[in-house]
Amino acid sequence: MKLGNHLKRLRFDDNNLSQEALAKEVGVIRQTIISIEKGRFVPSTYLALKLAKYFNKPVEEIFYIIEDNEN
Amino acid sequence: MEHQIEQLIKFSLFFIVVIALLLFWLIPKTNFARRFKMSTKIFILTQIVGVLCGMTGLIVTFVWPHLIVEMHLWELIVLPFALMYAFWGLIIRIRKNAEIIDEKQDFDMSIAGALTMALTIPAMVVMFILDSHNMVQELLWFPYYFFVTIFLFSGSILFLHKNA
Repeated sequence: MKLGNHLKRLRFDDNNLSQEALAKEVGVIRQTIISIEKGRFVPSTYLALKLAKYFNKPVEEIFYIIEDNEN
Repeated sequence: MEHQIEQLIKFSLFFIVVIALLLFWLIPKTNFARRFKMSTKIFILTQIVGVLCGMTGLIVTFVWPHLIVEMHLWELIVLPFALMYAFWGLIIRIRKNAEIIDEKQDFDMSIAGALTMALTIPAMVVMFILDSHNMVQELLWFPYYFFVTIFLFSGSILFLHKNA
């Protein structure tokens, strides 16, 4: 199972928010946002909640589980 | 001549360490401390310094093995790397918070630590084989292991950071 996310879409919906700007808002570096979007890094619960709070959405609308047979 | 150079290196090392300790104690007590912040640039620079120190140390260990310990060259080579991490320690002291890097950087450093532990084993095995066949002159195990570790650790972090 992997973790998918809608971060890129949410950024674009939020006036084309840059990765750098989003990173600053949630207190991480740009590479962290890049890694999350590419699915190479699983954020901590704390960071996931901060992202959810920023976009004003439940965590489940930002992150989702990709089942193995969906790969 | 070599003795004079050794004395100069020892004095320089002592002087730099004393200044660094003094700054470590003094800077948090000043208003200047507000300017000290962790950044991606400092994080990357630390790893670049680590790679360069490791590489330099390995070259000197093989090319001038008799100088690396006698002339205190290994301390001189590792000093920039040590000062970079001392700088991190200074920022922690100023911020009164050990979380100066973000979770991805922390994750990369953990993976780099594991990779370094794994890769130093074959590195030492190679040297053991070369040494047992007398293919290496005057091998100094500790400087070799030390610089291999610094090189692999910093190099791994840079690689993981670049391939975010």
